[in-house]
Amino acid sequence: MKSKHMRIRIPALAAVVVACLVLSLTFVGCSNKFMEVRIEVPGYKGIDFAKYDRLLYADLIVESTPKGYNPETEVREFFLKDLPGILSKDIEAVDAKGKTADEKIEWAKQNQKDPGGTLLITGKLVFDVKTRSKVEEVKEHGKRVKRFVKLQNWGLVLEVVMTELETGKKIFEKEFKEKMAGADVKNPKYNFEALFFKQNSRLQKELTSAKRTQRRYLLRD
Amino acid sequence: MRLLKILLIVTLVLAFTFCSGKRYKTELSFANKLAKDGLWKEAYMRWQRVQTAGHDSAALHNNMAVALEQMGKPREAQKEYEQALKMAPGNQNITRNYDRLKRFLDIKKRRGKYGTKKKDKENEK
Repeated sequence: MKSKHMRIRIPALAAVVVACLVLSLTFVGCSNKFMEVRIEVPGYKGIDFAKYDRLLYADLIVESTPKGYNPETEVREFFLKDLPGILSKDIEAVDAKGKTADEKIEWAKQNQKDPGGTLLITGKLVFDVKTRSKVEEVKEHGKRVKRFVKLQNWGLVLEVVMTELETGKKIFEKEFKEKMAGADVKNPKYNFEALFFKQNSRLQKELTSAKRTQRRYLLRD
Repeated sequence: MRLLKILLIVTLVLAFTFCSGKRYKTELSFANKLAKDGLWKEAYMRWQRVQTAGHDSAALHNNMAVALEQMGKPREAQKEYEQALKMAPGNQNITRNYDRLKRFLDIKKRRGKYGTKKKDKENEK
């Protein structure tokens, strides 16, 4: 009698366990209300430089240069040596001195055998250096004396424009501003480089920015 | 024994009914899977098909919005999110998705379109 009861109980128990398992798995599986995914969110689209056969650089127009300092060397070095490395594309210099930005584009178009597939880089570099005097205690011959000391506040605006020579279409145009207070009066090269290098990093980011991804949630009904 | 068999059958039927339910839920799930695998256009097409068949839901609008974002159509995505929130105002996942899209649109508005002359932020030392 006992064994007959046992023979019924074990299968019954197993069936109940299986049923509970199936129901719970079903419930869990279907009640997972959302699903996490990642999507590409467009950032600033980088320019596809690969589609241009040639990149030309016409010297930036420099305005209000501080006394006794010419930034031409550093600027050329960036555009003709550093930037090609970043863009993985050679940049050739064109001599268009004395011309305005629009004149440069026309001049370059006329002077290129085949303007198709050519991008011209032009722009402007504007200095804004303000000098003022301040009374400060300085050490002279072992004594502390009050003297007028010159202080400078530097501002620099870099404008970069990239134009397709064939169509005249501006595919990139941006201004980068940097400021520095309490700059060293005796070291204009250092002051310029400190600001210019910051602007270069931002320019690089703009030209080569990649897409970002973000989390989103897909829902189940 | 007979009772056990009936119990098992009932359990299986319940499980099947609970999970598979209507046809559109399967279509929805399959579209979700396609989206997870990166086939966004295909997924969007399937969600659209479900909607055309007359099965509208907040989940559907939300998922279509996500697909539109991925396909680079943020304005259309915004409309879909707004519709989804109308149907399910308290849904945290939809709100989260929508907030992230709004943040992106705000940044885009502030910075302007790519390629137009825009003064960059001044940095002062």
